[in-house]
Amino acid sequence: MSPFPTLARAQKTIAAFSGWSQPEPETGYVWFDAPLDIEGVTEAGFVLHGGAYSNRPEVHVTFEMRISKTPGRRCVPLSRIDWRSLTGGHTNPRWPPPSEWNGRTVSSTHFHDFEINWVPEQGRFRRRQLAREIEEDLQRFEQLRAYTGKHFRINNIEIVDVPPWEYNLFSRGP
Amino acid sequence: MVSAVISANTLSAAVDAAVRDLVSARHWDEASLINLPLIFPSGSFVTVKLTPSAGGARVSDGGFAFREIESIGAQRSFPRIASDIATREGLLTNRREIYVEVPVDQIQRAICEVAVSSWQVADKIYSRAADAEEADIEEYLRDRLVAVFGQRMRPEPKMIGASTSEWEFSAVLDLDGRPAVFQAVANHPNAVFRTSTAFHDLAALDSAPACVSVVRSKAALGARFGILAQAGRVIEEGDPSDVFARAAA
Repeated sequence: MSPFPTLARAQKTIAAFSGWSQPEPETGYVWFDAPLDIEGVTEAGFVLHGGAYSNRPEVHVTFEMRISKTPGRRCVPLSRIDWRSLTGGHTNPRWPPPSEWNGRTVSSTHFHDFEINWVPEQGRFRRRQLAREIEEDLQRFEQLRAYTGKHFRINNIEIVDVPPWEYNLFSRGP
Repeated sequence: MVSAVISANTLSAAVDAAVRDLVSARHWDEASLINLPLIFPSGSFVTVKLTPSAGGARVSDGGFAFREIESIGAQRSFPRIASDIATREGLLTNRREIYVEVPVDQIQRAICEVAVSSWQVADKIYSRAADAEEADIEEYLRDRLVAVFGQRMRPEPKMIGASTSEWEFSAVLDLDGRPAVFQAVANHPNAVFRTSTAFHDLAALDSAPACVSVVRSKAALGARFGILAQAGRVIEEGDPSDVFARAAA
């Protein structure tokens, strides 16, 4: 039986948050991988991944629950939340049905929710992932973080710092 | 007729709105970001970033293809595959991006080339992830075949079809009187079509072997299951030994 539903639905705790990375020289991307505990046990390779651009404050933040089999190698994303994505909205595949999200394009803030992508009777993910709209108006990083904690079932997500954003006169952007 | 006119107007408005949203640009202090109507495997739009450079503009994919493949842990594939694809279009790469610097009057073409190359990199690496699944099934399959049939595997798992093409499979077994061909098939169009073509080619032989596709899950294949089933027998990797034996008969 696949462990993914158990991991996705369990109450979790961030075992340690060691801070955001230094910005990538090429892109300014910053990220972290924080190991997740379930009932006091740190699950192998199970992390909360966060990503943002240091030079793009208050846009394009990603939180993803993922299982990294081996560091730097193939991994399996379970759920992801994109906030004000610079790549725009997410376009959902029309096929296969059924989902109310089939064929719809959702806004640049959206949720790749485990529950709409997992096919329980076949024990696998949909091959082409769906994303749904987020019902709440998330205006600030702190609101996004709280929303992520609630929906990923991570009870101490407030230990994740605000990304190391560099502000200048124009950096807020459109 | 009135309803047809209203309907046409409604459609025109919907078309205008859809076309408007197919390409969008946002401008920051030093950069412009363009979302294009190309869709990465994850469902995100391919996005190109433009910044001023000495000779005009630097057009890059902003590292978004890299971010795309990083999500499946395949980032180590980026340097080589991005370089292969970018070189064909006269583009450059670094550790994270595909880019080119061009005079301003060439940015339209550069935007298209960078966008398509960015999409191709992500698509190719996602396809290879499916090949890795095939290798996993194949490894397991070989163990199962030895357990069920004993040491009857040919050292070179190849056969020549009616077209005279030579095909390589996961395993070819010499059973009583006729060979049996087993192929591990990942849930990816390329894997399914390649197997289907090869099995049809073998089926056209006067003394055709038993052709068996081994998949992880029939249900997960969806419509592609029908394509495989037309070309030969299909079993799941977890099926009991007697199913393997009947499939090879």
